[in-house]
Amino acid sequence: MSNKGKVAVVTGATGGIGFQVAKRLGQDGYTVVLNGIEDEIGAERVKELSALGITAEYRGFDVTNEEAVTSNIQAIGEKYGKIDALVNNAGGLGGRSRFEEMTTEFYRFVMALNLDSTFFASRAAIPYLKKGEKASIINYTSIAGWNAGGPGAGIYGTSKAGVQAITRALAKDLAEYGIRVNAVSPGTIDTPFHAQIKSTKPEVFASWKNNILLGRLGQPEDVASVVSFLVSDNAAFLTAETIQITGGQGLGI
Amino acid sequence: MKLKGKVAVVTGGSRDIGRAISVKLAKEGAKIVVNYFSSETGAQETIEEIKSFGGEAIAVKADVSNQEDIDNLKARAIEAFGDKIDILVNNAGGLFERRTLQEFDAAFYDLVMEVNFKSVVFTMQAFESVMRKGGSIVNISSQAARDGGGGGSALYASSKGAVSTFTRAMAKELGPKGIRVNALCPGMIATKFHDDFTKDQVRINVAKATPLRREGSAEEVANLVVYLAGDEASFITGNNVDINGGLAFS
Repeated sequence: MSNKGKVAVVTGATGGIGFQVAKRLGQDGYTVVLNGIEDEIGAERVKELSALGITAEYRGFDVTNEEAVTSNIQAIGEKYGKIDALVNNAGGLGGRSRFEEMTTEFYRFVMALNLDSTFFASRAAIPYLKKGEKASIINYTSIAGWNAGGPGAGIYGTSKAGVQAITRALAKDLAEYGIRVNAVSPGTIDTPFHAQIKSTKPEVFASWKNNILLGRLGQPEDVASVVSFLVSDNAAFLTAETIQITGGQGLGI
Repeated sequence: MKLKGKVAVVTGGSRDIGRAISVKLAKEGAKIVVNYFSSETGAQETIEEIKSFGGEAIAVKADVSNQEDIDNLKARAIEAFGDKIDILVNNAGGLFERRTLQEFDAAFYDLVMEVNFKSVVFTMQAFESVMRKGGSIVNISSQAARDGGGGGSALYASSKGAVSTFTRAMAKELGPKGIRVNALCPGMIATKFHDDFTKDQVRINVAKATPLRREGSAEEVANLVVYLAGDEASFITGNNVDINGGLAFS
């Protein structure tokens, strides 16, 4: 495998999309470092990957904690001598709140979960990405970064718009080292992100596919496939770009 | 090989990006219908390159701005490779010459719009009935569709803007039928297109202003087409993907 010896770090890799991304990059030949905050699940995930012949390790740390992110990314970089792909997958809605009732804590939490996390991990990884082989960063924006999100998801949308801009800014800043920075923008993907609505309002959840041109929800594998492409040499002229993985939902520019 | 057994039609496949797309699709196992209009020699070179590694391809002459020619292209494709097409790449197009507003006449307007936009509309119309469910259409738009184009290319840019918009509209119409439609918007790619129409100094300046500090290659554009054409991109439709080395954000 041409990616043998390459190292990928995937944040938020214990669940949903992140695990499929880690698995896919592992199948592509990468050694994968999975991050999460649920250590038991992390250990299980590593076992699952090892059973597939993938070299993987788990590191538990909170991506909103600057010190923890920095020290862990440094430790990974020092252990392997480089990082070839950083996938800033961790993030989340954090809850829903209208602005009138929104607490400052909630605002800071959502921004930290999506935007600070991307900044902290990217900054810490740069010295090791420079030592990587045609290294790249993948960030996660969202359709909410364009349309500002559904009810009560305004800060989530705002944080994802920030991720969109930092993707471009990082791409400009890191291009001189040959480091590419791109984003994926998943639409409605069938993951635990939607677990609540799936259990409380199954009819609403079932109706979502009617708004998607391809007539189905996305699967985590759909996102993993795009990440696999973007980090590969086949995407060597793509940087600062966002790929929408929406099945044709909410077409924008 | 990711596209084994699939059949692909590539318009404008006699040189540059169209040739690179034809060759890369063939390397992934697809059988290729290489359309050309002005250069039979170029098309034959594309075919020979594909045959050199054991690929299958035929060349078909057609002016894709002419509906009768499109029908003939479709008939020849089906005759050669069976009754279903998996991949349609609408790559044919051109700038012709740089003209400012006062230099346009109706004939020039028609030429640019027909070769770049009418061709996409009626090729898609003709091929819809033979596209396999799960098939993929990739249209080659341009960064000019985003930024209005370089000096004297207003009609070219506008025709590509139409291609990008039509792509989104067709993603909506054909998505429920299981056909994905995407476009890509190449920036400065090292091709005969720019050898013919862009001054060397302009190309040097653009490369300098590009974060990756270089022009792209036709092969890099072809890699993206291969990805969008294949089943790995099965949830991607209605996208206009920029491939410009980070020069412009859309």
